[in-house]
Amino acid sequence: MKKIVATTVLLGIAGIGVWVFKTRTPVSLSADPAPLEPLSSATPDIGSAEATPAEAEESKTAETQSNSIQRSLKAPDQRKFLILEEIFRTKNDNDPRFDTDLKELSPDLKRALREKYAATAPEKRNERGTVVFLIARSMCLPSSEQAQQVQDLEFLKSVLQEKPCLSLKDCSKDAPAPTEEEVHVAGITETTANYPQLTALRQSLECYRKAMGQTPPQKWLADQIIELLQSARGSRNQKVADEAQMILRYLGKS
Amino acid sequence: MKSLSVIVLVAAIISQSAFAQAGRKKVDLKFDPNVQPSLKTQMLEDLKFMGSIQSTSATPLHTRVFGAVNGEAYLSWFSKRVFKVGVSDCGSPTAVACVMPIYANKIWMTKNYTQFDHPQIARLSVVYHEARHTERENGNWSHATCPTPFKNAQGQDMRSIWTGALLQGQAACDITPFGSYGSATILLRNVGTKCSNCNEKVRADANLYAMDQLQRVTDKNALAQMKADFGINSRR
Repeated sequence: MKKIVATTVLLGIAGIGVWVFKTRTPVSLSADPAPLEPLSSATPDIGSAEATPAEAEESKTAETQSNSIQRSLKAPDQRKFLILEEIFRTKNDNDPRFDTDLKELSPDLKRALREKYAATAPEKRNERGTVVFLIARSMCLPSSEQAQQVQDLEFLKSVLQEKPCLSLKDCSKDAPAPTEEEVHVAGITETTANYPQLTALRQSLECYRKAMGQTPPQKWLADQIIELLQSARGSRNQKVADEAQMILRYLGKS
Repeated sequence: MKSLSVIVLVAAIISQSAFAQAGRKKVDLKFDPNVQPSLKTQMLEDLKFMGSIQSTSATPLHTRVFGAVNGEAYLSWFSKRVFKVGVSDCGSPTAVACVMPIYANKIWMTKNYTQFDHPQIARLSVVYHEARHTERENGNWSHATCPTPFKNAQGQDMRSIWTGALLQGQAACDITPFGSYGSATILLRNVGTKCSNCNEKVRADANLYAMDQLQRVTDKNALAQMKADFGINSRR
């Protein structure tokens, strides 16, 4: 009898332990990307649940523009464009399709991405920087043709010539007066504010290395990148100018 | 009665160790009721990514601070430091997260976590930076005062590019590789160079933000130690 009571108590406590465990908020280790879905205003957007009316309107306009860009593409490129839209919606930067579906970009898709960049609010620093990353990376692929590379370089140049984003809340307005906490976090915030430009510079450096590392070296592309970096030295964005100078010095080209 | 007490104690130990075993692979966070659903979702998704990281190696400093470059190590490290999540403005319109030492093992998130469009790894580096500040046994890894003058590698004054405020004299630097700036930099650099299932963008982002954060480590020896750990020369 005593043994039965003891076993019952033991099982009861173990059961309570399992119940307590299951009511916590676990984070699974699984990171499989969600299945591809077409653009839809009904699709939930992380971060927008508490959007103001103005933000909701802006989001709707952006979605309309994206839909229009998407419709201008043929099916294979449309699919890639939708993948990118989905990644932006989920904010899951580590989607493996970045390195598969979104590596080789057709001229038409690049045209669409440039339009997407222009249509994206300046405050969307990661989204803009991601487009820059994709275009800069594809520029450097062995399959990339010179005519397309000229367009890619022009795009990167335009990114580097943009006026600085003055704050992550509103690029057109000065940041608020500094606080002690603002100094604490300033580095990350300022890097993000310049993320599209820093990505353009860093990917240009990577492309230069790859171009010079090929047999024979892609001399024309390498020279164009040096020119791009040299023009960035004169940027009105001090962070861009400093970074470009640092890269040129590193390459022994300053 | 004595045997019943022993049985209860044994059962409690078994259920707790089973939970702890599972807890090493999961993050248990208690969110305050006023945490926005979107913020909670984003944070959990970001930690899910953190938990998915894989690698076969780590630098010595990373091994010392976090262990392996993998999700289990990262989530275990985090879950030993942060149990609760609240919302606050953290005393700054640009802050993403902060820690208030009087509230043990709690991280405070601002609405900027979802509203500012930081790359994912940058968001996470802030969270891990703040998590380091929860370590009361290490004085919360308080920051050191930045030196005067405080110059970057190009010899220019380190200042806020927006406000122009000089960083010299501010409590916004580290003199050890193991403080919040140092440890976040170590994490970023290892993700950037060793993560085997991170895509090229994430690795590039991690390296970009690592080099930025490295500028806040101002002690010559600490900096040299970190550069040696990262395998980079003094030109970068």
